[in-house]
Parts: sequence; C-alpha cells; structure tokens
Amino acid sequence: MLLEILYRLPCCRRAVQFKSVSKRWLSVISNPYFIRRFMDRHRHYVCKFTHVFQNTIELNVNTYIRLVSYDHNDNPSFKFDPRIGLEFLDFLPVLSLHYPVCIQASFNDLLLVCTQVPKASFFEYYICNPFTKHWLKLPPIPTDGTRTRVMIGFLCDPCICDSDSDNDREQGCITNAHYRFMVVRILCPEENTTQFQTQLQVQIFSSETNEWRNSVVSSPRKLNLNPFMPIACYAGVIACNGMLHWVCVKDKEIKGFVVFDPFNDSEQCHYIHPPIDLSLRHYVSLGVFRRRLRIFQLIYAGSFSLWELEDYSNAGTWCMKQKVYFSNMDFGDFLQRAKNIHGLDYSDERTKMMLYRDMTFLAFHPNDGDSVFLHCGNSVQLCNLRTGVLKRVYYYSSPVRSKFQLVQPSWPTPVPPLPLNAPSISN
Amino acid sequence: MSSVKKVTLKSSDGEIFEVEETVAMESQTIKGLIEDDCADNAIPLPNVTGHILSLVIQYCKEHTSSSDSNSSKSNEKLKAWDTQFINVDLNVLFDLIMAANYLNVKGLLDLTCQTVADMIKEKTPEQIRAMFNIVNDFTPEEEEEVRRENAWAFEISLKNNNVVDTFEVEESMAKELQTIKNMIEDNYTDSVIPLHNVTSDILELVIEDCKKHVEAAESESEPSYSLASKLIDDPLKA
Repeated sequence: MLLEILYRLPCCRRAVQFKSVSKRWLSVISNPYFIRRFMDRHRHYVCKFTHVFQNTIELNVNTYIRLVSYDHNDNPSFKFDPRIGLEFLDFLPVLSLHYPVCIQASFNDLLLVCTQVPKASFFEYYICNPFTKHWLKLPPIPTDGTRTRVMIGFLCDPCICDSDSDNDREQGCITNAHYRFMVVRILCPEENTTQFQTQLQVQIFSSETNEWRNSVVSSPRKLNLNPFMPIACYAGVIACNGMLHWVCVKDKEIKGFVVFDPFNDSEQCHYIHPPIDLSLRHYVSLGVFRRRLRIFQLIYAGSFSLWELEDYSNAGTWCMKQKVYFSNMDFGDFLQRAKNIHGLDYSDERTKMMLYRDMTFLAFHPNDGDSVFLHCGNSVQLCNLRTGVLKRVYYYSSPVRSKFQLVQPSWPTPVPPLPLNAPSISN
Repeated sequence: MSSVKKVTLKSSDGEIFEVEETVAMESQTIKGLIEDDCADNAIPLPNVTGHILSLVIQYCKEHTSSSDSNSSKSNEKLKAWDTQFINVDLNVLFDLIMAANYLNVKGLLDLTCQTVADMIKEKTPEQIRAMFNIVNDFTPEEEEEVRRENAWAFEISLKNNNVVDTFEVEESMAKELQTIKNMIEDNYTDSVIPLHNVTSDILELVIEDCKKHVEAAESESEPSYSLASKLIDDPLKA
C-alpha cells in the first residue's frame, strides 16, 4: 500500500527525501518497480531542461561551461561561475585536479565527460547525472597518439524486464531505472577529412561487456560513411532510439542519412533517404524530440523547415511538420535591436541576409513540438514555427563551440543503472 | 415488472448489508464472485469491518449512479462529494485504502491514496514518522548515508534574481525564513527559489544566521535572535 501512496507524490524530490524515513520506505522507493509506476503516473510531466554551452569541442584545461535552466514557462535562469568554469560538475573527483576536460555528449539528464591524465596515454570517460551528482567511471581507453579528432555517440537503451513488459513496449519505454548504454568513438580518417570513406574505425564501450572494443563499420551500399565532412560535421552525430545518425554526403550534397545500430550490429550501417522536399545543398541540423529524429533546415532569407522521421523501414518515411517563410515571420524587436546595435537598416533584403547568416540551430524545445531554439548573433531566440513568432530569450555572447540540452525526466536517471535482478517488491 | 437485483455482503464483524448488484459491482472483487456464480448467499468479507464497509458502499452508490445515463451528476459535484467523503480520521483513511485494495474499487483506491499523498507531500521525514508512528530503524550512520547519497533532494537553491549566485542550502535551514518556508510549502516543486530583493552578500549573512539557529535548535538551547537577522528578515517578508 505504501507504493500506491508514494508514487502519487507530485515530484520526485519529495519521494527521494522520504527514503530516509525508515528502511522499509527506503526499500520501496529504491525499487525499480516503484520508479516505473512513478514515471507512468507522471507521463505527462512537463520536463525541466537546461542548455549547456561549452567553449571547446576538445580536451582543454581552460574548458568552461555556461548553464541556462528553463522553468515551466520557458523563463531562463543562469548558473555560471567564472572563477572555476566547471563548478557544476565539481562532484567529479577528477575536476579538482585541473586535468583537461570536455563534455562530449548528453542523453536526457546524463552527461558524458572526457578527461585525460596529463602525459598519460589513455582517456577517461565519466557518465554522470549532474542533478543527482552520481557518476560512474568507464575503464580507460588508450589514446592513439596521432588521431585527435573524434565524433562521440552516447547511446542509452532502456531495458524492460518486468512481467507486463508487453504493455510497456506498446506504450513506449517509461522507466529509466534499467538501461544499457554504449559510448561510440568514431575516429577521424587519417587522410583528408573530406574524403569518401566506405569504412569507419570505431571504438565502442558497452555496459553489457564493460569493456572497450575496436570495430570497423561498413555499409553494404558502399555509402560515404565519413561524418567529418562539412555538411555532416555541422549536423553532428545524433543519438536517437538507441542508434546513431549522421548525414551521408556525396559530391557536396546530402545523399541521405547513415544509421548505426551497435546494439544489434556493430559492423554494418543502415541508410535512410532524405525527405523529398529537403534542399540537398543546404546545411541541416539534426535533433531529437520525444524520441523521434528530426531535421531542421534553415535556408537564408528563405525559410525554416522541420521534418520528423516516422518510420525507419523502407529506407525511411519522413513527415514535414512545419515550414515557415521568413516573409511570414514575426521577428518582434529582433530587427529593430539589430538596427540599433549595428546601425544598419535591416528592412533592406540584402542586409537581412547578413543577419540570417548569424542564425544557427540550437535545440528542439523538449516540451513544444513546434518550437526551436536558435542562436542569433548575440542572443538566443525561441522560434515557434507554427505561429512564425520569434521571441528573444536572453543575450549570450561568449563563444560556444559545443552545446547540449539536458532534459530532466520525472525521475532522475540513476547512474549506474539499477541492476536487473533487484529483489521484487512486497506491497 | 422487474425488481432490482440485490446482493448481500457480510463484514468481518458480522454486519449484513444488502446492496443493489450494480452498486456492488463497483468492486471488481465482488463482480468476479458474482460472475462466477458464488454470490447466492451472503458474500463474506473477512478483511473489512462493518464501519468501513458501509463507507465503501456509500462511495460505490454515489459513483454508480453517476455513470448512469439518467443521472445528472456533474463531475464537479462528484468531486465535491468526494472531498467531503474523504474528510475522515487518518486511521479510517488507512482502513479505506486497505478495503479499496482488497475489494478492488479503483476510484476509491485512487481517491484515498492521492489524499494521503497530498497530506504528506509537504512533510519532512521526521514529521512523517510522527504522523504514522513509524520507528526510525536507521542507525545515525545509515541515515546519514541515505541523506548523503541523495543530497540533491535535500537541498534547495536560493537564487539571487539579478546576479547569478546560487546558494545550496539544507531545506531545514531555508525554512527558517518564513517567506521561503511558505514558498516551499506552496508546493514549489522547483528546487531553485528566486529571491528578488536580496543581494548575494546579504543572502550569505542570512544563511549563516539560519545555520546558527538550526544548530541551536538541535542542541536544544535557547536560540538567540540577533538584531541583524531581524532586520534582514523584514525585507524578505515584503
């Protein structure tokens, strides 16, 4: 009966505090079955989320980050300590040692952080939940002195193992208590980074084996798998549904998308077509909204478009969700302010183009399927693609080399994942 | 002319209740027995006392007639009735939960459990133990370990509105400030509390002061109210 009462609590903080009431309460609240019921009850939870901006994409002693957290009304609040720069991660023991460090990936409320003991010949990876301050360290991976560029994929795949698992699968995974994960390091080809590559060298860590493994990935269609080429590099490697996705480029055009599913096949890639109406010569951004892969394309002084992948079969079925033309957009005071700052009259089409060139995609709003966050010069704007309204969220002028969106689910993701054979709960 | 079918229910203490079959079928347990043709005589319910059973029957009556197409009960009226119905002593509430679970009356289980959840959501672990007469079976070290491992849940961030300093403080200390206590108890599910009128320096002083008060209270000595804290508390109350 205790479980029936406790999972109806409105927020996870209280429930976790109550772990200290008695041993029985601790046992109930820590049980994965409780977490599953709690998350099911809160399935319409409006997630809090945080943007993490980092000034580097590689290991650096001078890494610093800026955090912007959003409340339920999309009002931002900042957490930024210029004295240390990574104070938000200071629960990681390695940070007090001032080694070079770099956040390399994120998934929901988890971050993947890389560090290197100076003069040592290996990298160390940490998976951490910066909200609960729990972390785990992966076994070290030897560096290869020559190659420094990598693209990182961090994959989490929730496991379901309860008796009514069929029900869960229909409704979608609703618990984060058990999951397996992989860290995939895609190594930059030694030669010219813009070269056509039909094979990739990758290093994969799997939580199931608890070790790193080298693998060579190829594609039966002899596609160009190189994610370091300009258009592909811009969009990056995106984890969605336990698979990695990146742009497949050919002759400076988007040919399609590579899908790498190492949980099922760590040596072969799949392929999906681009949407029919995608402009193949313009850059795209990839992202995830509610566990679906999305493409965002900005065509300067033209339009914003948004597609969502509905189905992986038959080389992919895309659906265009939104398209809005600049001429139909309400830029609010964006143009006026730009005019004030730069002294240019942006009602002129050519100068408008210059302004749009500064716009880059930041993230899909985790709670609103119609909205995207954009970087526009000095500010971050929230653009609703359905209404065409652009709203300034805040000013931000520090250099951003990499960015992550942390989304907090209704129950914090445990690090490490809870063991599958936890004792069953007595009611 | 058809008479309404009735079933007979017998509580653990021997009380007999005659209810319409449709009302009794709100209980999935009883419904199962009726459908399996085991309900010719009185259905014994050894886990439910007469008092509780009468309450359950009241609930079922109210909720059966509402699903009737002839009934004009609106959702609001039903909710109001529920609120009044559930306004009972804590022990009765627990008995109702057990009965609703045993009899498998989903709506009643939801109502009773949610009521208890709402009662405890603002309480500290200490208050919970007092309320439910739970013995703290942790050793001090064990309890400390639980709190330490889950420190994030016990802390509140006080944030200065203009600048970006945040202070992580123990919730018990933050509650020393009446304003913050009210914000916490107003079901502030965010763990970041913005304080508009206070600069970081003052906030630091106030937190230091709160710490002293909490420590003093724990050592059961008379807390001494410093003049500074009185002055500072006032703008916060504004």
